[in-house]
Amino acid sequence: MSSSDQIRGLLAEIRGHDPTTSRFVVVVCGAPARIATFSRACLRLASFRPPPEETPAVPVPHAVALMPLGDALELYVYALPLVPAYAPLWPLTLSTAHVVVRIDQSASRLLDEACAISGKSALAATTLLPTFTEDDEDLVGALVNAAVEAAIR
Amino acid sequence: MNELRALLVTAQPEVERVFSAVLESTNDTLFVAQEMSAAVLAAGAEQPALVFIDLTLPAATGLALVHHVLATHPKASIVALATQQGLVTAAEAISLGATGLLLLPPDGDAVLRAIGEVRARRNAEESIARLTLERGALFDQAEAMTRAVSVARGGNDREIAEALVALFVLASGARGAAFFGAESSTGTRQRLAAFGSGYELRDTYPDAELGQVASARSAQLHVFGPVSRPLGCALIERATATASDRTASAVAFAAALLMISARAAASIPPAPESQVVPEEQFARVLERTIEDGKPGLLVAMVPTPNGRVDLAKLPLKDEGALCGQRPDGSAWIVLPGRAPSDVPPLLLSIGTRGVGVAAFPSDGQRAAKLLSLAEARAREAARSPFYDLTNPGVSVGALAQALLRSASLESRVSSLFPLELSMTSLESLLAHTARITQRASRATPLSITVASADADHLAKATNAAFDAERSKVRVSNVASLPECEGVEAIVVSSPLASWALVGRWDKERLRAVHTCDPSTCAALAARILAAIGPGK
Repeated sequence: MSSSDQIRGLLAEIRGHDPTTSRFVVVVCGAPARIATFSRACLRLASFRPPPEETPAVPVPHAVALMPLGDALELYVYALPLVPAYAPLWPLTLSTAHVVVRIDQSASRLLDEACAISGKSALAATTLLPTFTEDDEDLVGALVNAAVEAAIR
Repeated sequence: MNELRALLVTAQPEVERVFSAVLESTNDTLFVAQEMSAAVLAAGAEQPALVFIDLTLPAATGLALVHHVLATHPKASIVALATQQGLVTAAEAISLGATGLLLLPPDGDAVLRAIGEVRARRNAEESIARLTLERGALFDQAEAMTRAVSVARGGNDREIAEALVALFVLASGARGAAFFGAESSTGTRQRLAAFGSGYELRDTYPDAELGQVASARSAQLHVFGPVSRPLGCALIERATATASDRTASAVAFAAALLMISARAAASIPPAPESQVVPEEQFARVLERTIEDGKPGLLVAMVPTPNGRVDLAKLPLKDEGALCGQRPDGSAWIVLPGRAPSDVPPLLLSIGTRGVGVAAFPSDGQRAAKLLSLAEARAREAARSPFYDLTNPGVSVGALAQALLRSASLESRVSSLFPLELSMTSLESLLAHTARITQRASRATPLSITVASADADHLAKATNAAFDAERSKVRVSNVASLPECEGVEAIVVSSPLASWALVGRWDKERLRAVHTCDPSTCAALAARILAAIGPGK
């Protein structure tokens, strides 16, 4: 079973976790270069679609991919490039997140503080998936699946 | 050399003679038993440290005796005496717990060596026991000291005193101790804390009566510490039994140690004593200063998120300043003979965050009024790093300049973060920020306030970025107002989230700062809207 199928299989549990939401948001934080690689790998997965909005010209938090789960629910993957100059915008994105994953230790203090303000805590990608690398779409899909599972269980 | 008490259990007169001669030469005491029952009685009565047991006693009573002595006197060392033929029995005795073996007939030198080994082992054991006790006591003291310093750093005077008294009792071996505060204006000393047995002390005592109490209790009265601090004196009731070997010097040492720890703690600044005035006396000192009729400044400092006021780092003596400090960390400094225009180096070293200044006589000539005025200004300045935000006398243009000057990465998301952007990047940033603010606010009303050279263009880009129908968006162009000239300011706010950017164009680049600190965003939006004026 592919990661996408596994995620879709979690629909009932996601609904149980947050019955009112129309978006289940996974925020992935990392250095801009790794986030760019992650975004490309994400869009290589067949079930992921690019978001309607354009990628911003500045390294601010933005949507990288979405996946319709059915039942009027979409899975959104947001990227949060860890560029300290844009830290004031992080809490705005983190506050909408159902789960936050960090793929490296860039700007870790600022991210921790933004998470604290938003009442979230960032999970390490290597904790969720020890073999994770951002250039392998299968592992990216597996990471998103693991993150969703971590959020709802 | 410590005397050894030894018991020899043997029925052989020749063996007894050799042992008697050896132990006489070493000035040790030898008890002799010739059979089992006498040996059991002697072991109980004389409590020997060393027991020599002849394994050739009839009916294998030697082995039984080894077992019995080990069971009833586990601290005693046992040396088995065996013949060459009885080595198997000797091995059994050693397996039971005997620590040595001597062959019979005994050789004087061998007996001497056996006694020497036992003596050395016992000395080593005693040393280890003593060191273990001392180490335990040191650990206890270190723990109490750590607690005292920890309390002193963040506690009030009474908490500090209680922690120090606990440490005092521990360090001195005193049966009880009490701390009394500094002499107050009424000439009495106030009890801050008391620990230990037998103390039924009143809350206050006149100095003389406190001395009488000390003599009546055969207690020691130690006076120490700066008189301006409440660690004025300690009444120490010494232990009479368990700690009778502790000396007065130990108590004095503990007192000195406590004062060192207290001075090291942050709440007792090591500033020159004459420069630091107790909190309750500061208003009086200020009144006396004002009475002179000369001008001066009163500086109030309140703790900021960046930390408490550290008086120790201020050049108080150089400025002729007097200061007072509250347990909550706020402090006042009075600078006699200084005019508001004459900014002293002391003020420069303090900075502006959390600092308020009142000048006398221009701000008033009553101490209470000056104190409350300076403190109110300090609290206002502590509210935000951008204290000018709330000053209505500052134009938005000057405000932008001030914010750009203070831009710094403080590694806090609510800090000001510097940015340098092109117009395209600014449009993109504003559009995204509006969108994510709207998302974070879960479709609650969103307000966008803009002072921009090209507000219409920005508004268009912003409106295109999100679903305007779900939001109540307000874009105000105040760029034409004189006090907003050249300023680029954007505040995106909703009940749940906010973001502000302010800066100036430098050719094609915008030098700006931005923040998500709600108080800064709200103040900045209010300043821009105030510039627009009511009803516009």
